[in-house]
Amino acid sequence: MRFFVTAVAGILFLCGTDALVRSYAQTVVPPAKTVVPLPKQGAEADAPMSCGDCHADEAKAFRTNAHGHGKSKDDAIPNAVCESCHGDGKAHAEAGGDKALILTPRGRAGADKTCLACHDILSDRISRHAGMHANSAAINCLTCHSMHASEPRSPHLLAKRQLDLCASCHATQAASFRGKPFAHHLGRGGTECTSCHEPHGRPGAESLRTTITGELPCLNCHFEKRGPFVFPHAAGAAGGDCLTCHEAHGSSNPKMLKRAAVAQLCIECHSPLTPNTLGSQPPSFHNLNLPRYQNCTTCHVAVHGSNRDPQLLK
Amino acid sequence: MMTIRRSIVLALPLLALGVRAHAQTAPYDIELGLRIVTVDGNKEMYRTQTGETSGIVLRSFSLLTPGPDGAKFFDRLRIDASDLGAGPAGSLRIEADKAGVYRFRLGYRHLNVFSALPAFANPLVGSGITISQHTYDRTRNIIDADLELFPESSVMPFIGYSFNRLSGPGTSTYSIGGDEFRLAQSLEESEHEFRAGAGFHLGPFRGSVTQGWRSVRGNESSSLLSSSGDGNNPDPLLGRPVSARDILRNDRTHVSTPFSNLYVTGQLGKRLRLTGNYVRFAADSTGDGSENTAGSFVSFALSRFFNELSEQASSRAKNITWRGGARAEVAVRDGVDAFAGYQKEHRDLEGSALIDTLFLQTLTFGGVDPRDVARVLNTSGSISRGEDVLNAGVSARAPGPFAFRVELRDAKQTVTVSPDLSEIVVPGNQDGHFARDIRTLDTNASYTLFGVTLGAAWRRDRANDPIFRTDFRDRDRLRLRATWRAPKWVRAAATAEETKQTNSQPGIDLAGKSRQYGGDVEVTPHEGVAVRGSVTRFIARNSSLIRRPENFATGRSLYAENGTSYEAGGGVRHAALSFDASMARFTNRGDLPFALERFRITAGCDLPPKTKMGVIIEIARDKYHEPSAAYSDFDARRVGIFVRYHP
Repeated sequence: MRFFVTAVAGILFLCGTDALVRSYAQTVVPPAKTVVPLPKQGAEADAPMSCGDCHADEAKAFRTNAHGHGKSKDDAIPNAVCESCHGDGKAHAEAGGDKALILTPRGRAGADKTCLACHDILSDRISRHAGMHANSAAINCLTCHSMHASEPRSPHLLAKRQLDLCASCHATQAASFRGKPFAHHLGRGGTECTSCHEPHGRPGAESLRTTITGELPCLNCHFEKRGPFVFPHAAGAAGGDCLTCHEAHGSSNPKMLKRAAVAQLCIECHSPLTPNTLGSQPPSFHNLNLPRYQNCTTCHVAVHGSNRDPQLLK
Repeated sequence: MMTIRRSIVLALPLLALGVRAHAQTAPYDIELGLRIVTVDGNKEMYRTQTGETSGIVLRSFSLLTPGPDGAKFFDRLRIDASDLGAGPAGSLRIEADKAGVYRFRLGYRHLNVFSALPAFANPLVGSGITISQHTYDRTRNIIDADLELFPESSVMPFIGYSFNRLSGPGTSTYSIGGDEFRLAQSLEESEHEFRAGAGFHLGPFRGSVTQGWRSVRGNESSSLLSSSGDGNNPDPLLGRPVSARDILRNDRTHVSTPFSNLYVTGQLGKRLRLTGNYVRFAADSTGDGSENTAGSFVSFALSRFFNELSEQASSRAKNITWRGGARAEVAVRDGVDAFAGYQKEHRDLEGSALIDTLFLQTLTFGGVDPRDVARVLNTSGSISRGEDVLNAGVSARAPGPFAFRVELRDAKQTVTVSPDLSEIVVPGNQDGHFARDIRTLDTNASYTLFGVTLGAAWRRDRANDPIFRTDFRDRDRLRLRATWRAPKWVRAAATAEETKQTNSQPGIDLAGKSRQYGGDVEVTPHEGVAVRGSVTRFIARNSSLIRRPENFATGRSLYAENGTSYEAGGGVRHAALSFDASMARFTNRGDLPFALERFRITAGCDLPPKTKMGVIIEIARDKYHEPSAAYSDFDARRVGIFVRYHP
């Protein structure tokens, strides 16, 4: 509650500063140095000016950019492609490249007006307006995506390698992946943060990149755990899920388990000291003082479910 | 699949040479070489954790080319491959597009899945026997292909295919007759998924309809591992030595799953956006299995000794699940949206099995009444689960540098378990009706000004009853984040997160707390020069009441993790030279204390300068130490040398 009151007071205070920073999310950056194009020679002098005349590298690279492919003519990118984001460039060109006369999308407003003009996608999972990474002063499309300087080996015009990009905000999760001994090999073999998370998704469970049948993303790879089984482990079938026992972001424990000792993990559920909870009590011959019984999965091998044995022994 | 991987490793360099003539329009980059790994200490632990192996590696390949104007087949082709060949994981991705005609995506992933941990599921590790009892050395190959026709048109048909195969040997254990025996295991499971449908964009409505079919086939065979017939327990049981002479088990499974997926969105006016979604699948599994076992065993269920077992089993299981819902988003003003939604999910699981077991050459514990005993288990059970989630909130992103979001959620969960009486083999609450209602307040806010972002997120969950004992009744999660980005030369961030969950119900008394906090700094003093460092702390404490099975006394389960991660590194890039070095150390002083150190150097340069040919050398070291179990330790060194060509 104290946090909530502080947060509300903070909101009121900070909204008061709005007027001071109204120019913060401008879509036009102030002028810096200008680029004066070399005068065209001969017949070229009569040709209309192309963006690529000055921005040759950007124009060449844009032939393979997702925004430019299929639109080139005579191996050149038409001005219309550039102008779809940067606005009419005629005045900018005629002024010798005056940066004040060209639109450069920046900040929330720039991303909203430029990127979302085409990419305002709404789906069962994705919402550009109510999503967890919706454009704001803190984060916007251009925080993660770079139109002209994307990481060459990353798809979707990402500004950096995906793990580095996500780690710039989600540092503890990244450190867990990199530091803990039992973790998914992130960045290897096509396994990335977005293998499980939908960065444009709604918050909470909706941000997970579920299977096409709406199950947890774990099953996208580990399909063999899906079942259905005649004798399912209730921890998965009755409402729990993989994360009941496993740490998806890396674990200090073998098999990415939440506990270092197998028996401890199992017995925390299988101790019906109160009514109305799922989980049976092992009978008395399981003497946890003996090493033989400290690893439940020595015998209960089919811990994810079985078609052969009610006790998950095979 | 090994053939596919080798073919790709060989084919991509050839492809690169083939497109050399078009280098101006087909820029590509290839790194191919040799990686050598040497491991001192526990090689299996190293492979389990890191999995690098010696051999030829296509470290990376990328090709990105536009088609010539008016090309018939594509106007963009992109191929990316990484780490194909030796190593734990590699991937290949191909994208081809022709604007307005098609989009094609093909992904291939290869993963070595290895596990052999001496302490895990090994009851003999305390007596110094460190051979892993549960191991596997498998490969997983995944292929995904999608073809979309006429993108950007009003109706966009698509087809897709996915393939996932897990196969390879392993070892497992089998508990039978009063002892556990190690088995050699061979597994082959594969999944094929076909899907077809269409996206559409009709006026204010967009959406997608998909119909798919998934087929899974699994074959698993197990047999007694040589010299494992004495089992884990050397002592006789009821005066009779327990041993296995032969164990042979085979299981086959087939799962067929048709599924449908549909969503529709509508932009009604400038302010209202609606979404409706529905997904349904019906998985139908059939299985059959057989077992022939011989040896000297004890059965407490029969109260008899027996020498042989023969079993036939057939099974059928179904999972019918559907999920549907609707959402609305209203743009109150620029950057301020109100939203509300309702999602409902229902799952029906049913399973039945007929297991026919014949115990041969049995005797009572008194050594009399020799005969064969037949047991038939005819069982069926079901689990029904439902969840209704209602949510509403406001997302404000535009009051200057400030943004906040507030959401309320109410999730009602119900579970009904109906086991067949024959399934209940131990006393306990294995059936009944369970209900749980979770109310959530989820908020976050951020403030950004002059490159500094301050963020806070608080989530509060309150539930009435647990379904599982480890379910919380109260949970609070607080996240604080501060980031400073000075243009171009420095980025610094600090993060703190705390999650507390409790359930004070008598008999459970759950109290869990985890904290993660850390900071990282990245400085770029000069273009091409970067230095970075970070420190992260992971602290977890968990406590709950348990009942110890050996005497049914109430005890307390305590778990602790106390980890610290240090990472530091830097890199220099200048013209044709590149150098990157990093080191990391993770120590845990919790229930499983260990220290893991990683050290990496990667250096590259073009040879001779200004050519398109270069050399990359990578050196890495991984060192793992468990103070309480030295047999797990390893010290691994990796050296790789790669040739790079980048016209």
